[in-house]
Amino acid sequence: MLLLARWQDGGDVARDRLVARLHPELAQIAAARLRSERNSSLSTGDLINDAVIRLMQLENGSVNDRSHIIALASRIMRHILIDHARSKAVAKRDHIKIELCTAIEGSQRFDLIVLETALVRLGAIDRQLMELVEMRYFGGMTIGDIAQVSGLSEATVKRRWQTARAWLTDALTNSIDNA
Amino acid sequence: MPELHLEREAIVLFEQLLAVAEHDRDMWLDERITGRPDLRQRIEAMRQGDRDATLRTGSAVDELEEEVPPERIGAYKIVELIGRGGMGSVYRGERITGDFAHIVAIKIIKLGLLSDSLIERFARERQILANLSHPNIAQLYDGGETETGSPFIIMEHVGGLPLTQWTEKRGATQAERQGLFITICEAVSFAHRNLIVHRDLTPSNVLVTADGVVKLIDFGIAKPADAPSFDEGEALNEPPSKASVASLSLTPGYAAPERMTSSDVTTATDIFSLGKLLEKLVPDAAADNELRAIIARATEAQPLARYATADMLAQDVIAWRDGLPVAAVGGGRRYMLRKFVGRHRIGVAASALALVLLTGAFSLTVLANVRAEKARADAEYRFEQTRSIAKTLLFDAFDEVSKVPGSTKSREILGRSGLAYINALASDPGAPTDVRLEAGRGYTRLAKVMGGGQAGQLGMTESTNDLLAKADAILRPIYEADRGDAGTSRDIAELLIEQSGNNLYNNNETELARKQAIEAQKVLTSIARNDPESAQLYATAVQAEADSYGWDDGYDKAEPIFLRAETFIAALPQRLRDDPKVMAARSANLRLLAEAHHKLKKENLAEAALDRAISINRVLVNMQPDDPASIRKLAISLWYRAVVLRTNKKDALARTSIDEAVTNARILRARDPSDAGALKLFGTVGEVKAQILADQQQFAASFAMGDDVIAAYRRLVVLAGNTPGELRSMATVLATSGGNFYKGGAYPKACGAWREALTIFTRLNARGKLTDTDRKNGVPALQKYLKRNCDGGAPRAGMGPNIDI
Repeated sequence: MLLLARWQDGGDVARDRLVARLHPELAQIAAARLRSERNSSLSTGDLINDAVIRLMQLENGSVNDRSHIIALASRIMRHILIDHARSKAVAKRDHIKIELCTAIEGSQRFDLIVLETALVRLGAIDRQLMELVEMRYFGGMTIGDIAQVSGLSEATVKRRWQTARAWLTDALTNSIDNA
Repeated sequence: MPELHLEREAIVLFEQLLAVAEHDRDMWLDERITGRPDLRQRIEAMRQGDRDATLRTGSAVDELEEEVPPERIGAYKIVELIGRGGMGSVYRGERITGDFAHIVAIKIIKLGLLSDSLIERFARERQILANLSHPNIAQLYDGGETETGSPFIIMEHVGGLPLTQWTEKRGATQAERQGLFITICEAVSFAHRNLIVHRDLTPSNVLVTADGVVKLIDFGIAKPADAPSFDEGEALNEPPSKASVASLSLTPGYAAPERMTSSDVTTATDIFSLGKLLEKLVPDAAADNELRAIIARATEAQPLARYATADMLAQDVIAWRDGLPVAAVGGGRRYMLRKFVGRHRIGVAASALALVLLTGAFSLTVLANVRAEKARADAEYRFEQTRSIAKTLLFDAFDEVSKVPGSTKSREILGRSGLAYINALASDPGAPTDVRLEAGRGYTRLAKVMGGGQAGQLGMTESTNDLLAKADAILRPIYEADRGDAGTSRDIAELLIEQSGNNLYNNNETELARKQAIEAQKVLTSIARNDPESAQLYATAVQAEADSYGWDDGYDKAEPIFLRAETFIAALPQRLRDDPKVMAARSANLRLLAEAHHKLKKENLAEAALDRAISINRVLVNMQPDDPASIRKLAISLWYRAVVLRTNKKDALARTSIDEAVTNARILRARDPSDAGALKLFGTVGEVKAQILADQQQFAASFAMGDDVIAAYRRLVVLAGNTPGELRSMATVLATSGGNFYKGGAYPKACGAWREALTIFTRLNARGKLTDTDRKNGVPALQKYLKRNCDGGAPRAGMGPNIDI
């Protein structure tokens, strides 16, 4: 509670401290995932949630803080993953890139770096949509938690998320073409 | 910035659009963006994005996950990475047999990328392709799943260059190029004769070896069957994704309806790509009149105007090479004839399964029809012929087969193959209304088999959603155009009831299910008392409305609605009341009415309603002794009477009733192992029998029954592809079985079952699919049991007889 209250009252110091506490935990979660440690049945969202709850116990946080801190954690997660993607992009260049069943329906993979570019653009158009993607896609937050943080109704969050997803998918499709 | 402004405008409008009902969206948009091509283009692009959307909650981290290749795949050792793409990686694999190393290419799709239903389709397509053997098509050897579950295929390793690179490097002569193209056409034609469409012919999918041998790769697996087909344009010059966006923006919002359906990927798609390939392959193609005409014919915007077969295209190229007259230049009469015959070209599409089936004599006839260029009268005749065969498959044969035990899978096959044909006919813009009605009805029917409603089903709920959406897209406009027609009203009502059931039982969408049930009643209001079919549908629609409350434990609201359905039937004239269809609807409704009574503690009313339901069902079984549906209904009513009797502490009567129910359920399960409905029935009645056995202190028999039941539910979850509805049932049965195990003193077994149940609920919650009932009752109860009896020290006995979750 104290930590978040201080963060909200301004004081970048408090915010920085929160980030400093969260960052190593989140980096560890990301690293474990990237090493394909699939023995855990928990989703990334669950893991972030756990990390935040642990932090709150240390800081005597209140329940209301949780969703806000997860939102912050989502942003940190975005940075960690994008950094990782950038460093990996260098290593990847040895291989020939080939088209491989690129249009099989379902999910099409794309470059996180390309996604980041699109996300920055989306932020310029509609900042809230960008934050939504951050919370949902990078942080794995539930609709309920996002509603709490954003002050929107759950129905609105669902619609906004669907909109953000549609916009981004379109943006990604186009950017692949432009590459 | 104007661009930002447009994007903001599009985002606001798109968000509003999401609140509009699916089938009203086009009209809603037309009212708002007429005269705004820029805005329309953005909205349509976002709608396409919405259809393709792939960002899953919390999945960002998965994008980076390293795919660690296994050391071996089957009998092959992975030697090196050949290439990497969005979907996965291709490796070189080696198998040493004697002194001779067999080299293959192994394509591994990234884990978690395909849905379960896609994995299944991938597997089916593999089987077809494995049988496709041609010297110019890279052979598919094998496929399967790696230990971690990633799908893979093993295929012929082709050491060659992409077509255009090869010709460039070799400085290939005109004759060599012509020869290559004719060979490519022959290979494509061979595949088409086997009813396989490549779907993505590009220079990089045509390899040429050092010896100059052509090999086509990535046959058929490159693209989904239901990828919108507008990407067939520019297949050669542009990546497919851009092509789809580009052509979408050409005719924004006006894409023909058949373009949105899977029926559209035909052999004509490949003909187009071959035309583009020819253009690329022959230098200065534009300077040659005849060649230009050939390319133009192959790449006509209208699929029906293209060459009907790859052979015909090859023949024209040969004629051009040999200086003979080229058909493409002639145009005129041939074009006219082709146009008519083209109407009967079968959309080689839908599912790979349909493709397998189309290889019979029937498809040969149809293919022969396509090739033969005859007069219009003949074409019309064949249209009728095709239609009548399709109808036979889809309706008459289907109904006959339904009566045969073990026929669920066969019904799917009949349904799918019939649909493939009828749909090809229906997607012709000029198709008569009744043909389109048949297609719509066919989809509803197939959805029932796949796992929507109540009857025997395969439990594949993912595809049910899809099939119902297709039925909706076809039937809706027909109904809207003529609301007075009784037949169409019944069709739309039947569809609505099926959608309602699917939304309630499979998707947990209670509100939507209720809305659809009420709409079905409205549609039928004026005809409900006219004939048995309408009466049955009406009663079922009322029952579906009531059940939408019952599903969420709103029994006080459900009870009067079930009563309304019963009152409706009771007031029907005798001839309708005694019709088997109406009797079936009545007993089902009485059973559910009894459930509402029971939950509201009106035990005597519950028993009375059940006695009536059982006696109706006994009459039905006597009338139709081999009909699985009647046996099923009898088993359900007996089962539920046992539940009620047990609550009323009439143990001996309960035992008699449940024994008869289990006997009937076993009969059904034995008849058809792929019938998810039978499995579910067995699980439901078996669960109660296990409880009653435990009540009677027969624990060994009770545990055996419990294990049998859990196994049935596990299989159901797999069959359904992990849908929330099935997972919820599984969790519930685990919770209840845990109670039984506990009462019998099997503590570790009990705790194991409870833990698994809680894990399932936790996962459902993470997917946002935990129902309120489970959140309020199921989860806390499980947590309590685990805390009290499993997590803290020694287990205790005496939890009470009924653990009701």
